[in-house]
Amino acid sequence: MSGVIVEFRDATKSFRNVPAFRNVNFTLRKGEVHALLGENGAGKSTLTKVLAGLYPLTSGDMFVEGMVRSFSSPTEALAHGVAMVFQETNLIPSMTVAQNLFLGEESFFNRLRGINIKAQQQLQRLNFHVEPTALVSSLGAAKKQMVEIARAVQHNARIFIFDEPTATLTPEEKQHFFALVERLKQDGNSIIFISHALEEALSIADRISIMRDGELVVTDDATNFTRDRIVQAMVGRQLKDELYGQDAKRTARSPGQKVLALENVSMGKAVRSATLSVFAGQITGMFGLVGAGRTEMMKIAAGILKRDFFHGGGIKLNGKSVRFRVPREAVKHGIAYITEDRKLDGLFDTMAISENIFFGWLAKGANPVSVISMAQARRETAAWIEKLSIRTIRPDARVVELSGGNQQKVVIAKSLIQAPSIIIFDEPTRGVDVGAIAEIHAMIRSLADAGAAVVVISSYLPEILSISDRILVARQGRIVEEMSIEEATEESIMYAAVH
Amino acid sequence: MALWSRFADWLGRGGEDALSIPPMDGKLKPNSRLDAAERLLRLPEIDNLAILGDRLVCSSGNTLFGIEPEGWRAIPIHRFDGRITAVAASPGGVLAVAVEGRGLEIGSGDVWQSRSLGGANSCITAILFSSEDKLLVTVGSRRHPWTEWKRDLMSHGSSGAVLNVDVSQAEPRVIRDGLAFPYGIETADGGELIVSESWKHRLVGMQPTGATPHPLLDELPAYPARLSRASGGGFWLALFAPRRQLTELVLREDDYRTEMMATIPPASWVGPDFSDRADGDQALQAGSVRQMGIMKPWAPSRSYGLVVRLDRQLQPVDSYHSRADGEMHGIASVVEMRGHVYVAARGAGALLRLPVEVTP
Repeated sequence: MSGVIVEFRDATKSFRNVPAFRNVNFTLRKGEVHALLGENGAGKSTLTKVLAGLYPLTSGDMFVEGMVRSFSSPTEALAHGVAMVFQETNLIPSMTVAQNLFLGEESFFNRLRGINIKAQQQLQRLNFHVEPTALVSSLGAAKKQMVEIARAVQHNARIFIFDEPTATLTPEEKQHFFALVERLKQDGNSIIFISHALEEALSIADRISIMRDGELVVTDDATNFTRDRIVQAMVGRQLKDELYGQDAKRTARSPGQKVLALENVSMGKAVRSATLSVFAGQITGMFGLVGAGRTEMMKIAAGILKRDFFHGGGIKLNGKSVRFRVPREAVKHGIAYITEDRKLDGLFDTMAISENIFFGWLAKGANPVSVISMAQARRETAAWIEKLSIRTIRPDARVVELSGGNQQKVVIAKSLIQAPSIIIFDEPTRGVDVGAIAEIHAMIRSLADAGAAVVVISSYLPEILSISDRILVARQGRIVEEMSIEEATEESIMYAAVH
Repeated sequence: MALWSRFADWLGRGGEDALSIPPMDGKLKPNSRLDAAERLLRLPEIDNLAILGDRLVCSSGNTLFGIEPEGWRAIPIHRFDGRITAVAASPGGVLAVAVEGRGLEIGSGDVWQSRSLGGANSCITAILFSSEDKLLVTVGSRRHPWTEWKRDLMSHGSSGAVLNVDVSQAEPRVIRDGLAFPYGIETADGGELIVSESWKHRLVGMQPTGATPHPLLDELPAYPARLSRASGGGFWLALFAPRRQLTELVLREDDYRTEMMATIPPASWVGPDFSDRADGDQALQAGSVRQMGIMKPWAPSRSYGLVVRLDRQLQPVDSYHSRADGEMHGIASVVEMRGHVYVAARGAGALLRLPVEVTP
């Protein structure tokens, strides 16, 4: 077929007779950006994973450059020009950026300086400000994503699959990324772009395909889509008031008691004399560009990071000074931190959903010498699976088998089972589809309505604006601005975050 | 490991070394509403406001003034022999005035009856009529007169008291002593006394019988002064000066403080004040955050203007500020009358009026 570089014909992929997608007919043209949209669990990640050589098809055919293919590994797919940038980064944290970029391509004798120089050139070409000698473990999520993208470009692939590439990028970094996509396209490459940010898909895609419940429901030119049409096709229903629509009549919840205060907290160069308060019964939104220190501030409050020993400031929990040495102490005091990197910090992904959730309960304060009742574990976890609408075939399914949105719900359930009074959500809807976003937002709101103090850290301004009762803006390791929902706009928040 | 960590904390003073002060955020988020407020009149060192019938009275220096609503003029009611440190008016029209070194003067117009409170005479900070002939009185310090309040702070003073004064009886009854500069008093709906304990930056509750006080609102970012009732329930709280890290450091450094008090005039001490005079020889008092001749609003000035509206549970619901670059500093007293809040900015020597915008 002329101009078509990838084609799926009547493709079906099943896991244990449960189809992830079925009878899909999909084409990717040469030199096009094709956005693949759908709710979590719709099957789009699985479809692209088949193309990337992670899974074989159960039935149907996959054509790459006109030839029927079935890749047995990502290496084989890459050899045929297919590279995938995964939703969750798959870098090796203990290695440097340069080593990760050239992983698998090492010569028998490696000259470290040589690969550092090549990595530097590669990163500069992409306009990514990442130090090639830096350890990946020291990078933030956005910079890890950049390395992932650079690695795909490095392999001279002709077909690029980007799975949620912009979820962790700042607005400026997104512009760089879009320019990169444009450049790849001009060079004749084809790109499959999976995203939950619909505006991004509308702005950079040539064509858009939408999957729902394992079926490809529509493919059309991007110019023929509107946001409403996409959302309707994705969820099969009208989402009232759009997802991030701001209700002009919305009034902020009035604050209850001050439950958490960070006073002049410092931690190295990441957090510099940060001062903020969190109130019960309210959602405190925290915005900042990558590196602003907002995650670190909250991790200090949750005992995950330690503030400076001398002149590190003070943390007051319900008016009393606290210094948590380990997260467990914070958990016992009712603080739950829900990580931004669920794969690394949030889940045991090869263990069952119920086991993951039950670990949260154990962390709260189970007696180490008591006998654990697995019946109780099942009861507790079953209740949370139902409460958070975690869509799974069975409670003992492994977390790795779930879609991103359902994995996120497991991470949330793991914390909420501890019945915390202060809940810190770090990028709660990163890599989560629109349907699940609405559910997670509703759940966050209900927590605040029930009197909990909720902190939502987000890089996505519409999310911050739609969910917060008050907004804190972080920059260079401190809180530089507090805004009420009446005075906050995307422009004013971004101005405070940048200037 | 935890034990070692705690030991290391103790060695390094752990959390104690933080020198942190509570943030002004949430409902205490800074604004400039006091600077934007209507300025009714100028009166040097205007201090304690009270409502007498349908008009305001206030003190300034030795003189008690009545405020004429028409034209907002201050008409002297009486001049006393010493500095007035507190004023209160009863619903029946009786005035009680505390005069430094002399005690209480009770009466109206030109007829005044003196009432000595002994060692408490020189530092009465607030008065509240509990009935026409009974008064609740806060005594900031028994060691220092009111004019030496800064020395009391720098000495970690805790010789303040709350007294119950019955006009018909000779001796006042001590409800509670050992307080760290009580500067304001009100009664809650249940009859409990609410007292602002300034040097401990908190409001405490205590029964009139004198049971151990308990904190009602603590960790205030400024030094609380007088309290008054708000319409719709709740209270108004005036806070006369901000807490600053530099002041907290000085309050911790005993040797430095002792030498400072011994060798430097009080006006130049590092510490809070009603106004920031920002003399040329006191560049640091303005926090040094002055660029191109402009004071930045976030500069750590030693004076500030802050009024907080509290709900019935004493939680802040609204606040009015005058920041470092503002003028309306050193709020000593605030009262509400007929839909407006009247604020005495002692540091600026101004009476301000604001509409009541938030009711809990």
